Amino acid sequence: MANYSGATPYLSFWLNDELFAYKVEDVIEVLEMQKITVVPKSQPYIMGVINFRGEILPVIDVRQKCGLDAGKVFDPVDSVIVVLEVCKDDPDYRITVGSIVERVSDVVQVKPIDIKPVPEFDTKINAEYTEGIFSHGDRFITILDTTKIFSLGYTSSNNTK
Amino acid sequence: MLEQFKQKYLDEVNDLLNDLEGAMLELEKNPSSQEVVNEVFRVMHTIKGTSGMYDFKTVEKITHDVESIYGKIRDNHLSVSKEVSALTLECIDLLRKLLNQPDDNDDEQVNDFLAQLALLGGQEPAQSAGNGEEDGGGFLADEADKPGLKEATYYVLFAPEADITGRGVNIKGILADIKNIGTGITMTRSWPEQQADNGKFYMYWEAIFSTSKAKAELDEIFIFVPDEVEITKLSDSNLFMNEDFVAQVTMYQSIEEQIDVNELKALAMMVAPQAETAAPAPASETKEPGPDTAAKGTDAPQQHQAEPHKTDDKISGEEKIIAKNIEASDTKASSIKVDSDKLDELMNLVSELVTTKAELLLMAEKYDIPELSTICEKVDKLSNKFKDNALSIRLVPIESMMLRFQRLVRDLSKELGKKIEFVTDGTDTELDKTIIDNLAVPLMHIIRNSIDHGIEPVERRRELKKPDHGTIKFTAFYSGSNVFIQVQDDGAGMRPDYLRRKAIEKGFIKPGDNPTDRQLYDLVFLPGFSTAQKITGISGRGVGMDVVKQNIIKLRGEIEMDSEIDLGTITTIKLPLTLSIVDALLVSVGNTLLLIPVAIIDSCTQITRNILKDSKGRFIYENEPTPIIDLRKELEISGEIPEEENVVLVKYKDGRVGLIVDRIVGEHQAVLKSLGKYFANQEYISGGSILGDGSIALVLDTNKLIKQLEK
Repeated sequence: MANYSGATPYLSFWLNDELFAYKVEDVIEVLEMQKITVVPKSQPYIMGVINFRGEILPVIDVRQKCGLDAGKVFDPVDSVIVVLEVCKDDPDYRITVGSIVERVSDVVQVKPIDIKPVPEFDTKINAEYTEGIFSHGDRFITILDTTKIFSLGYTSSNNTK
Repeated sequence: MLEQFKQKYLDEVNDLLNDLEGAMLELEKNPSSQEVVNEVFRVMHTIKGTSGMYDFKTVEKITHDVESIYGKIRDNHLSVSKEVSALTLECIDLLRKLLNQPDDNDDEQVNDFLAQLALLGGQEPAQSAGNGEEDGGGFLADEADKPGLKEATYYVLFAPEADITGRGVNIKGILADIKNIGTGITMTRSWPEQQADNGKFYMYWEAIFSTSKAKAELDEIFIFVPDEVEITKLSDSNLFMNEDFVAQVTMYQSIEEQIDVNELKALAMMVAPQAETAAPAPASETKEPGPDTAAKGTDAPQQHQAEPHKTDDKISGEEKIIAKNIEASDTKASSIKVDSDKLDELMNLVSELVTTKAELLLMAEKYDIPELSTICEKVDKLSNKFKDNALSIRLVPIESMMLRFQRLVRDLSKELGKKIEFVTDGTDTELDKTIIDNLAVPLMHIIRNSIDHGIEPVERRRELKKPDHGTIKFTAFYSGSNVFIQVQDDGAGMRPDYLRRKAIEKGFIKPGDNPTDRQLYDLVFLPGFSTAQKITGISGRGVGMDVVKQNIIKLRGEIEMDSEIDLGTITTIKLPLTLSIVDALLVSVGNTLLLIPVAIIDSCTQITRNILKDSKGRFIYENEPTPIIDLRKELEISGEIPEEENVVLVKYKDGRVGLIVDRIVGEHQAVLKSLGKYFANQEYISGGSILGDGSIALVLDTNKLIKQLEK
């Protein structure tokens, strides 16, 4: 965070009519909605698997992972799958994963200084899974922490508590 | 020295040491065998020769001395005693250590060993490597280094292909080698924009230097990139002595542009000190793209060719004969060594071919053109053959790891003062290389356990009226699409009452529990459950068997133990033949596509839901009550339930189990893919496979499913 003047690009997207964002650096591709093969008896937050360039890729519903309301069913046509590569630098935890979202919004440049911590009283989302929040126009965008959400090392230690 | 060669050398010597170990064990049984003595002699000599070449001086010295001993044995001046074989085995261990951990050099150990050898060799003190015909160091002398050799000036253009970084070529090393070979300048350049798309790496290098080294040595630097380098001899003299030349070179250095070779050559001719160099040199030496112009092709053959070329230069006399011997023994086995990365790549390609073929067949079916169908059939057949062939390349006989087990049994039983015979059967059974590689450690543990805990001391065996010699039997065999490996000892066996007490003590079961013997044996695989009454250096720390089980599970295998008090213990490992492609039956339940390996399928039949209602988990099939599993229920799959259902009967243990599915779609060659870390603990599903239309089918792990439901 030495360079306060440099802005980082974030990909913002909609979930439950709210804006969230992933670091563009983590995003490999945004896919149109496609057939998701359900894997029987898997965790509820795992939507299933898709064929991504010949490899099998898990698709995660981050709403269920982060404690957001998961009542709304994803539109089978308009929803998109954001493919992320998380923990690129650590081969033990590196994972490629799809995150299903309602639709992507925009790529926003944000300076580190403009990112504030997510207030504790915001009960909608488990603050642990966020990196911060920033205002964009008349809205707030919450940055999700991809490592904490998708990396399995973190998942397991988190589940045991 | 080139790292790649060194690796090759290490591989080779390690193989030779394995051969030697086998020979030594043979020699212990049969000390008078002249053949084995010759074998040891030959191996020592070969290692000595190559070690000299690669500057492993200590190895060279040791092998030289051991070789002398065996020379004496061969000539009947010495006989194969216990000391000789013990020392030879020690020598093998020492060499392995020296080669594989060269930084961890223990001079004391080496000197100690050499002293012992000298003692054994008798009056004659160990000869240093330096006497006449057995001279291992002679060929080391490099003629190019001899003084008085004339210097020459070269221009080198090194323009790697774009994929250079992916091929593991050490560019830095090459550049350093150029710097070291002579005096001159190296220019790092990048391609101008209009040429940037020429398939080349974005950088290239030009060097002009003078050197006294031979041209062959210069070629050697570029041995892995022969097609990406141009070496032009400018003159048979050191042109840097000429001021005009230096000025011109300095000019080249200051401009960011590729040097015009012809211009440079013209200049060289002009400034060359004598006229004699001008005429012959450019004609024969210019524009030579690599060490071997005739063999233009992929890198691989070039590398192979380059090496003998190199050895020929340096090896003389006796060494040549040995080289021939190696060649001869190679042809005898008629096999070649292939980098396992290349095999992996081949398997990836085959997998892709199989997947693409499935797409093609789907298309052909859709359009139904007779000509196309014929071609498709051919492609189908060819790709099947290709697949089988590629898979078979990866198969390695289990024999390949037997040696170390034999050694383990020999060493450990001596250490523990037990008499144990190691018997093998079916070691020609073949398994995927990856599986074999990951199997050695777990098997080692199991055999150790048998030696340490299984086989009793001689006194105890006499009490039980068992033969003094304990036996550990290693058996491997095929069954269906699986390979079974069994390790059986005729030792003490496991005592269920003792296991039970221990399990209660450690809190694995409650005092009131009443587990079966089988369940008690399974406890052995739990972390922290060690029953060794005394902890020995060999086993008994309680980390063995659970690690063994983890390793086997990683290979999609299963492990089981069975035991009888005072009769012995048998450990059975069941493994899939290969990890990559299986023939499977594609079935559907609701919207879920499932794959069941064909090898475990017994037959298929149909059933109506009516019968199922009061079936109580069983139905009569071919006059036998057969357990039946409703996949829809077990896998929690929703959707409309058809009135008429299909049953796939799979083999399980000695009987059959029926699996209820909605529809049988057809056969599919499944290229198995992992579902990834998120599904590591997935019950019943062991992987996925991509179908011709791009959709995903899940591979059903029937064994796990049935086992789970049995409980």
